Amino acid sequence: MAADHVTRARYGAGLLALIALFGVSRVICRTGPEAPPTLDAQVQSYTDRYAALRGLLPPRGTVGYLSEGPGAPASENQAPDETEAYQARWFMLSQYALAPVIVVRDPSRSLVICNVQNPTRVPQVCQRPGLVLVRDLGNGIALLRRAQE
Amino acid sequence: MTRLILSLASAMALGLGCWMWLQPGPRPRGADLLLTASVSVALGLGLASTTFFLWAIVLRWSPGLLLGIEVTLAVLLVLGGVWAARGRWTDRPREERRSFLDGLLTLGFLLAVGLAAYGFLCRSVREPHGLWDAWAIWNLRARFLFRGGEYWRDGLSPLLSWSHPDYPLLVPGVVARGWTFAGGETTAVPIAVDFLFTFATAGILAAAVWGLRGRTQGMLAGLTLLGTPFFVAHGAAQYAEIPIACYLLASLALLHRADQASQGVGGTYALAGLLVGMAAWTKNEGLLFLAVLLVAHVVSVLRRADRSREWGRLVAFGAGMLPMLLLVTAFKVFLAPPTDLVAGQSLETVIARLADPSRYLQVATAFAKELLDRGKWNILPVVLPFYGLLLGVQARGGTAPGREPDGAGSRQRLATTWGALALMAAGLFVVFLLTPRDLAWHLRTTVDRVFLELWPSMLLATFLTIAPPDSDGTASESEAKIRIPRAG
Repeated sequence: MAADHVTRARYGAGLLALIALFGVSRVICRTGPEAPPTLDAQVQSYTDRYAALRGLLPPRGTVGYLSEGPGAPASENQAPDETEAYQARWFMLSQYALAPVIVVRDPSRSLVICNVQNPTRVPQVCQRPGLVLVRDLGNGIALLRRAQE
Repeated sequence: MTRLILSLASAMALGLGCWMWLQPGPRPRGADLLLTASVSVALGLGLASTTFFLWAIVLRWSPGLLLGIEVTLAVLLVLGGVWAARGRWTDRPREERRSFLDGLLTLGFLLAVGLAAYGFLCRSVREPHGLWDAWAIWNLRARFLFRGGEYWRDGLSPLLSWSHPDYPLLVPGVVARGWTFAGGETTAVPIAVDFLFTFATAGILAAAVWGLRGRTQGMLAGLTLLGTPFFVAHGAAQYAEIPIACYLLASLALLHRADQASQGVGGTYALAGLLVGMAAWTKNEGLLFLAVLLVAHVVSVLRRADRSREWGRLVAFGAGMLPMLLLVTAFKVFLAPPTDLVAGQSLETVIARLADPSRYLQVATAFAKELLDRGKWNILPVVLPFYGLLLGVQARGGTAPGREPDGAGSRQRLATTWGALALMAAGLFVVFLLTPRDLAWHLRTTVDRVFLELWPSMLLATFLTIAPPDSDGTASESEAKIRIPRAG
């Protein structure tokens, strides 16, 4: 009986170990050099766009944020709900790039950042009543300020 | 890079010093050596993060001076531990019985460590800022601590409610500390921190089970954890789930260890308490775990015959937990905005959600579906119960050198651990039931991660319950009829 148990246990443990090793190999397969690029791999390049803007902002405080509307597609093949997720992502990445300045989706602030994916759309998206262009950085990012009333 | 390595080494030395001071003993070998090294990593990162936060962020004192104090304190604590254990430092442990299976599984574990490290690094090179929550929550908060200077509290503004400014600061603190000592922001810091937490978790699991159930079982447990694809992949995501999982596991492992040790039990309980406190300083779920573990502990004490000794241990556990609990309480009361899961909830909406059977079904279905996701969990949640049935339930432990055989106390500890994990799962179930967010979305984006927080602890309980494959089977077969760990 004890011998049966030992044999059974060894086969069981060996099988479990093989299953576990198969699990580790799955991580390798998904992360190897041939794995497709992900959006999270582009965080650095995306936030680098803000490098020049950081020097134009105060060291702390709150700035507004403007971007394409929720319906604007980021690429031609995007569904509306997917677009919304992308917009949220761009907004959060803007905050990540500009911390410790706080970024809020409120264009009524005295300083407002405009962020569009296509640089040629800056005039179309960023022009709002009461906002004056301070600097167009040429990479889809512009700084605006509220005009004196 | 040298400065970063030195700052991490200083943190781990602090952890080692704390470990040796609180539980002086013979020079660690085998399972004890692996456990000492792995727990020291988690302990050191937690201590370094906390002291850095209080010293350099809150009080704005010189970080350089802090590093000097850390190193001095670490040396003093290690020397104090060695001095307290004088006479026993050179004790030789009993030789462990080695078998072919033992060697094979050790080899398998080491292979898994190597493969997992490769997978981790590949993922980290590809996504050096981590995945969404890493840069939107944890590393963002670290940037506020590092870049914000005296205005670091701006990072806790309610204007940033989407980034959960109520979350505790252990992970951002350790990252900001690394950047400070490295002399600038580098993605190497969060990558290194998460690497250490990920592999310390595997080390703690393997060492704890090895120490309590023998090397074969320990290697199998570690191998099973590393064989969970979601564990390694998520480790590289730079979220806080792996750190909190590490602290939950470490605290439970030390409580089990304390039950089998003959000396230094009070110190081990205090360390377990400190680690639970660190879990609470890592994520809000840590507070739930802290409460659950205390309840399970008190119930366990009330059921034991030698209550006076157990109350003493509970006091040591509470004393270890207290500093971190005070810190978390101060943070929640004075600094952080209200938790979004609680804020704005009225009694009527809570009762309405609790009375809605469709929500129970939705949460239960999501829990069940999650466990069957082979891409994340391999097929382990399905295989492990069958493996347990095949091998039976452990009745007699004590295969490790220097450990007493399992007694009623250890079996009761196992029951307490299972009870705490069940209560934790139930607590998380209720959190989902009551969530003010869209339930389907909340489940879809969160269930896998809260399971991951409990997964290493579940594996600890599982591998302490199942009979080791190299046991003779006589005890386990008799216990197999019962199928549950006996209490008392």
